[in-house]
Amino acid sequence: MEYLFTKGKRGGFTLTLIVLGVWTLFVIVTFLSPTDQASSRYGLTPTQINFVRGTIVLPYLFIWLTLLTAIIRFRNYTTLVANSLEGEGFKRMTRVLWLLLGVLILPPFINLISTYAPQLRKFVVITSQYTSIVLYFLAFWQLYVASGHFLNTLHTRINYAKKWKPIVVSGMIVLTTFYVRLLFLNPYRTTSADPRILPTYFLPDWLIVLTILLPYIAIWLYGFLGVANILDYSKNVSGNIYRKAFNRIAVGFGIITLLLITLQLLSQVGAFQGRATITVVLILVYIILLIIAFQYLFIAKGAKLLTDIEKV
Amino acid sequence: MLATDLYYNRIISILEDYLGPAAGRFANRQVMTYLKKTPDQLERRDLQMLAIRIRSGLVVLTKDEQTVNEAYQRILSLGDL
Repeated sequence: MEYLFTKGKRGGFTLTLIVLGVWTLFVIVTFLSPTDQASSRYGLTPTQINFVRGTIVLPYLFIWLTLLTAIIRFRNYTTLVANSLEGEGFKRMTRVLWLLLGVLILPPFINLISTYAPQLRKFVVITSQYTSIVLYFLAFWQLYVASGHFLNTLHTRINYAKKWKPIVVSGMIVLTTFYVRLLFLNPYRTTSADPRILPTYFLPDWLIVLTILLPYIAIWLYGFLGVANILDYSKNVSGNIYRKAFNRIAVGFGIITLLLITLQLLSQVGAFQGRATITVVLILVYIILLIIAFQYLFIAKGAKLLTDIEKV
Repeated sequence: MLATDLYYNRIISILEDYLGPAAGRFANRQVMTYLKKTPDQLERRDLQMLAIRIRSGLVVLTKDEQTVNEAYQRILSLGDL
């Protein structure tokens, strides 16, 4: 147990086995779940439903494993530089990746409960939403704190963040306006008279604003500021070989953060649109997930390059 | 001739241009592993061997030969001081 969550290739192998085990459990629970709800909701046969399930669980495995690769590489590097000035920043970046793995794994498991126990739908929807929000909040807050640690290690610094400030502010205004509009255009946000459509939140408006909207605004703000700081550090840090490796990580985190925010918005669009729109949204979600998976590999490669510097 | 600790500090200062915050750790490893010395025992006559070791290390990290040779020459030139 000692090596499992701390360091070493052996721990990496064990973690991979654990994630494969969790995925196998997810597959079993998914395919054994009753098909009658989905049949009546989408007018699909059990075979078609199982085909759709297959197209969901396989990309899940891919993205879980790419993120795990990034975690293992980051964790190994963090162990090597634990006592250095930038060690704290890398430790927190590893934590960000763990939390993002939590967002990928926990809500889908929670959502499966409602296929076995439809009477628990309300509880499942609320728990799943709040789990995602808490994990995203912790992840992006950690990203912001990590970025502060990195900036504090610089002796001299050109403040590129100043340049990002107007982009962050205008991005936040656009996102918030768009999100509020989507939120209040959604007629199924609290209740649904249509048995085929599940309410998005099962919450009254005041609770949606306080516990969904405001936390998401905080999440996006931390995400934007964290990414701006990390890009700032990657431009300022000395050493062209080091900078090249760190830049992969900075760009990777930047793209992942932007895409995760887009996914959060898309999850609101898909909630109340017609079937055609849902199909388009689903395709978009898959494309975004694929890009995110490749970005995890990209930052894993950056962490590997940094590790090489410490091993030569 | 420079004092022992000045050689070491100048080497780190040169390596920071390539390896940033990892420069100190990289230099320590090269000195301790290949010269079997501590940084404060570094002498002028060690510079050539150290420059070769650093060049070998940088070759693993970058394909940019110009960067590698530039670092090598800069470390070697410390012997002229």
